[in-house]
Amino acid sequence: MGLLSRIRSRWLNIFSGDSSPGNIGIYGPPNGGKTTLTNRIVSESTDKENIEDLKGSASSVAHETREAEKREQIPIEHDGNKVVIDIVDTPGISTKVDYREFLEDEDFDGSEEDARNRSREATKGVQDAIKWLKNDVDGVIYVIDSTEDPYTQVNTMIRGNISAENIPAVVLANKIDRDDSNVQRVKNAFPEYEVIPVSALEGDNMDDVYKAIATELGGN
Amino acid sequence: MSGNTNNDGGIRVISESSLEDMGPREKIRKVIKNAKRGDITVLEKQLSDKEQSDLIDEVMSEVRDTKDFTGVDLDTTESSSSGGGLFARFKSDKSGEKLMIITPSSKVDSIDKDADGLKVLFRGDN
Repeated sequence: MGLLSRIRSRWLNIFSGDSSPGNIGIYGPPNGGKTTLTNRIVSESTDKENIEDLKGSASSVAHETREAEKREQIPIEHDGNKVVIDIVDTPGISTKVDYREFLEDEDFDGSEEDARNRSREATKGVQDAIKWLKNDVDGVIYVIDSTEDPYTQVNTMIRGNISAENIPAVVLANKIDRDDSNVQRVKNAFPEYEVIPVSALEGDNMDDVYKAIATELGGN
Repeated sequence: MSGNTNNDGGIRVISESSLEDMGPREKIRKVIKNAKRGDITVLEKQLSDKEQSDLIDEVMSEVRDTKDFTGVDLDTTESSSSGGGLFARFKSDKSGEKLMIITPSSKVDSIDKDADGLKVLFRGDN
């Protein structure tokens, strides 16, 4: 079976009504908007009374998401196509974690010991994210902050691992609500994918995200 | 705790032939040992994507267990302006043609790259 067939088959399995929901991992560098995106998807796809229980904590503090958080049974609908997925909001993958950066962040109000503890949790979170990528995710939504340089070694490394594992993926160029957003730069870095410009914060172009999940990647 | 890192710093270059004699674990251990000593490592042949993810995994353990070790920065000699995307860089399988630099993040502010190569900016540089 060729690569494309395997990818298509994998997605068909994920989105088949007969199989259990697939794990869709939300990946990307720290502070790219992964938790905001996850909360947006959950908010727009789930009964109102359940939303707060399913939301993660998003803030400007780096490594705010310190462990992979799974939101189960999230229904995604677009143009009559409906799929049910489990979303795994992963910590941002980074090569360094410095507790002093927490202390320097104006949104962080803890002590030095709190910062050190958070730093230790963040290191574990990065490890968990890598482990999930290698073992447990069926598809990846890769979230890039479109105001930042996408040509980083971590992005290259993650992209290589996704390809090596034959994991289907879509790329989102997030934060298009900001003046310094550069979607074309993200498209240049990921020419093999359809790059979807979005603002998870404002909800811009979320229909395109649902379309990609429910139709293009779902193989309908 | 594995103890403090020391502040001596240097540049250690590992040739492609030496790398070929090492297993993945040995490469990773050597790179981390150098970084904890404050040394910059230059690999004549870059680590594979899997080795890089294993390196990050190990680095995170060391950050957790070693006082004042905050991790590494890494990059390769390939310009972002050289055309092609990340997939092309992966697919081209030209890893042997790239140098990789791994620096201790506590000493390095950033690694900038352009068509000519890499520029390491140390903390405190103006």
